[in-house]
Amino acid sequence: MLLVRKITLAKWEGEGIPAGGIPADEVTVDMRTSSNSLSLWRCEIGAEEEAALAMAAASGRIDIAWFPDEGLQAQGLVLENTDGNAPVVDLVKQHVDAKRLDYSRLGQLAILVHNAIATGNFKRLPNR
Amino acid sequence: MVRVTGKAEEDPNTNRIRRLHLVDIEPLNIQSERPPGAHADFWRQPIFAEPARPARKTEQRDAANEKRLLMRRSLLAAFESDPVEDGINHSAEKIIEKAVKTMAVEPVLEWLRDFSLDAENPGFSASVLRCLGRQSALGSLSWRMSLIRDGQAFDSVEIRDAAVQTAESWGEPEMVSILAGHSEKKPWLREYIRDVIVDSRGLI
Repeated sequence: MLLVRKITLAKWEGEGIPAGGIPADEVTVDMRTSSNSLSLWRCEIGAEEEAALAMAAASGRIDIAWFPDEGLQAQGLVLENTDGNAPVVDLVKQHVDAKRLDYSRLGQLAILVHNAIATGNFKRLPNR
Repeated sequence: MVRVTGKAEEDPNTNRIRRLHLVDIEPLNIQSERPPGAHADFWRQPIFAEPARPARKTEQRDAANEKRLLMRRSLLAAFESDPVEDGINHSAEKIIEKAVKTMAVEPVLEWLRDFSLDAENPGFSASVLRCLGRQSALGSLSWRMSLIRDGQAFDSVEIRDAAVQTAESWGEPEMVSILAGHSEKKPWLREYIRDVIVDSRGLI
């Protein structure tokens, strides 16, 4: 299975940041937590666009990045299924929260998203 | 007693003297060189007074600068509190809307343009641009076209991306030529521009 996170692609370009560094905006803007939890969506490999549908808002476009969910719990990350605020009812149950995040665990997730983008596991999708 | 000459550097935001650059210090022996009423530490005072201007114009300019600063601070605070997200209304939109409705339009458009094209603060500029895209019929068509064209010319991919999103959001066929004329180096943004052009041509 994959975990998908909504992002703002341009922020992950990290202009002016040394190669391999994770720009602070990535973390403070795109990895914003609520109650120390980060919202993610789960989907089958190859079904990333379905996850994007779950995050879809009224208009515009949507940027997503994805990474495999294997090994995350072994790294101390707590994943909990929670109902998502998806416009498509069938997708509500695909939502998962990465819970009890601290500075270091949030950083681990930021690295996963960063690596996902570096390896081409991202997409900008029309949101209609 | 010495005569100090220097060069004043003005702050473009406040039009006040920001820094004084020392050019020369010349010893003086004439007592009358001391400015009338000057006291022992007169040298702490600014070397040059503001150039003489009609008081009314200066006051107007100060008031306009004050409003500009206030608007900039309000927008910064709004973006700091919440990032701009697709499909979700942002409080900055209201700030822009109110400024356009309640103040003289021309200076407000000039400020918005400055905020949107600020290479020093690409995150802020991109956010302003995206909020402008949510305003209908803001400024003239040529103002909007020039904003998109200039936004696309920036080094910052955040500003370039925001300019394309704004053009897409305004959905005006005139934007197609600007988008098509831009040579984009980031593959994902190039692809997005192509999609926007194709979609826009479908609407013509």
